[in-house]
Amino acid sequence: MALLKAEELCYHYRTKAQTVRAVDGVSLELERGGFYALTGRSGSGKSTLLSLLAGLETPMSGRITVNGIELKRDVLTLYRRNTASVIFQSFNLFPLMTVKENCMYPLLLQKRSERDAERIACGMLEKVGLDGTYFKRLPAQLSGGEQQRAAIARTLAAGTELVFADEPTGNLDPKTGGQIISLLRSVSHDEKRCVLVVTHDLSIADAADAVFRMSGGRLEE
Amino acid sequence: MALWLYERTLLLRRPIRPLSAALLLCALMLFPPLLARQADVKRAAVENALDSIPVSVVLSDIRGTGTEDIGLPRTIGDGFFDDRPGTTGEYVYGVLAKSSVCYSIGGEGFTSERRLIGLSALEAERGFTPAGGNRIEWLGCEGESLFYGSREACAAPKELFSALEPDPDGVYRVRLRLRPYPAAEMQETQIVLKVAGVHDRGADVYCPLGLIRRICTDMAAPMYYDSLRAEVKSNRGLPALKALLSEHFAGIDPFADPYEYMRKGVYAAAVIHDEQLNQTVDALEKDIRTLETLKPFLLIFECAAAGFASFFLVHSRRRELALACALGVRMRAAVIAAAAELLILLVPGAAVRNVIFGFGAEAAALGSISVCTLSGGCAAALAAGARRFELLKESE
Repeated sequence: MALLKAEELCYHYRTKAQTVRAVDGVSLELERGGFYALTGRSGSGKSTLLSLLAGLETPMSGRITVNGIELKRDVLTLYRRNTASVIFQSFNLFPLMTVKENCMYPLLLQKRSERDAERIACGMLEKVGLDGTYFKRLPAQLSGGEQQRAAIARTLAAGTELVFADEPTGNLDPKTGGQIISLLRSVSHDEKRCVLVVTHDLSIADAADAVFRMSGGRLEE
Repeated sequence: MALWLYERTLLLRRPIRPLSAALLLCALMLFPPLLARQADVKRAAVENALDSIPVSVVLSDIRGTGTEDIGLPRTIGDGFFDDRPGTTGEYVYGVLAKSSVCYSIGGEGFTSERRLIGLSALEAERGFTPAGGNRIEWLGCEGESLFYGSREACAAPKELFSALEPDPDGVYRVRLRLRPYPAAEMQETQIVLKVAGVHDRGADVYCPLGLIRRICTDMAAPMYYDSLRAEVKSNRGLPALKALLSEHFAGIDPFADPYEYMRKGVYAAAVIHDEQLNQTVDALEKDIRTLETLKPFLLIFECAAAGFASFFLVHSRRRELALACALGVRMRAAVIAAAAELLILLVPGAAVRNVIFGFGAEAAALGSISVCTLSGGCAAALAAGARRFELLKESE
C-alpha cells in the first residue's frame, strides 16, 4: 500500500482578473523509502501541490490518504506534527532559538521530555554534520548551508514518515546543494522515509527514484 | 510546552520589543485615570472656590424707580437681619446697615446735614471707623458694642459734646428732636441719648440701628436703609439668594430683561460681588468640560494605539508563528500564546495604575484598552496562521 495517495486534487485562487487553477486534478502515489522529485516551470503549481500534500493547505476537491487514512481538516495539525514535515528554501529556523532548540522544537510538540528531545536533537545535528560547537549558535551565526542542515536535522529529529522539501537548495551554492540532496537521499533510503523534493534543478531530478513533472497545474504523463 | 519555550526565549533574548510594548501599554493605561484625576482635582477646586472665595452683597445709594421713594424699605432691609428660612438673612451674615433720621437741638431747624445715623456696627460707615480716618473717644466701657442692640446711647460730634454739661451722675446726655429723613411735617419726636463717645467727623450723631427702628416705629414713619452690605454665608446658597433679591432688584440676573424694573417696580441698586468667584469657577468648569469632551476621543485613540501596538508586536513575529503552525502547533494554541504574552505585558501597566490610582479607577477604560490589545494581537496571530504557507515561502 502506498504511504501517501492523492486523488484528483484541485486548488485554485481568485485574482481580480481571473481564477488561477494552481492544482487541477492531480493524482499521485508516494511509497515509503522513495526519493521523489517534483519539477516544472515557475507557476506550474509545484509548491501549491507540495503545500497540499504537506497539510499546509486544504484542497478544494480531491482527497489525500496517508497510511489509508484520509486527511481531513480536523487532523491536519496532528498530521503536520507527527507524519509530515517540510524543509523550506529559506530555511525557516526560529531566529531567537539556538540550533539545538530549533531541533528540539518538534520533539517537544510531540510531548517528548526535554531530556529526550535534547538527546535526539543533538544526535540528528551531528548526523547532518553540525557538531557540538554549533549547538548554542543562533541561526544568524550560521552559513546558508549550515542553516539548511539544521533545518534538515529538525526534520529528521521529528521522525516523520513524509519529508517535503520546497527548493531546499535554491539559496545554496551548487556544491553545498549537492551535499544537501545527498543527505536527503540517504534519509529516504536509509531511514525508509518518503522524501519529495520540489526543484527546478534537473540534476536533482536525475538523482531521484521517480520524477513528477507539472505543467499548468497538472501532472504530465 | 514547545510554544512556551519559544515565548520564553523571545522574552529573554529580545526583550526590547516586549518591554517597549509593556511601557507603551502602561502609559496608555495611566492616561484615563490621570485625566479623571485631573477632572476630580478641578472639581475639588470648584468646591474649594465655593467654600473659600468671599462674596458680598452691597445695596448702597439706593434710589427708587423714578418715584419719590428714597432708600431701601425697612421690610426689605430687615430681611437681611432675619435668618429664618426663606429670608435673605438665611443666606448672609455680617450685615452692615445704616439708616438715619434728621435731628435738631433746641430751637434749631432740621437740615439734612445733621442726622442721627443708626449703624448695625461701626464698620457700617467706613468713614466713621478709625481706619477711615475718624477718631472716637469713648467715654465709657461700651466702645463699639454701643451699636449692638437698641440702647438709647450715641457717639456725638465734638462740637455738640462741647456744649453739654454732665448730669449729677456724671453722665453726659443730649436731648434731640427727631424727624424722619426725608422729613415729613407732621412727624416728630424727642429722645434723650446718653453720650458714650465723641467723634470729630461732621455734625452727625451715631447710634445703634435698632434705636432708629424703634424711633421710626414710634413716629409711625417709614424707615429706609441708607446702605446695606453683607457677606454671603455659603456660595452654594447664592442662586437662592439671587432669586430672592431679584424679587426686589433688577440686574441680579444678567440675562433678564434690562427694563423689567420699570414694569415690576423693583429697585436697581443691588450688586453681588461674585466676579472673582464666577471667574474662578467658570475657568475651572471650562477645564472640566474640556477634559470630559476629550475623554472619549482620547480613549478611542488609546484603544487604537494599544490595538495597533499589539498587532504589530505579534505581526513582527508572523513568520515564527507561521512556522510553529507548519510544525504542528494548533492555531488556537498559537493565538492563546500570543494572548497570554500580551496579558503578561498588560500586567505591569495595570499594577502601576492600580497602585497609583486605586483598584477600579476608570476600570472601563482599562478593560477597553486590554480588549483592544488582545484583539490586535490575536488578529495578527490569526492572520499569520492563515497565511502560513505564503509567509514561509517568503525570503527572509
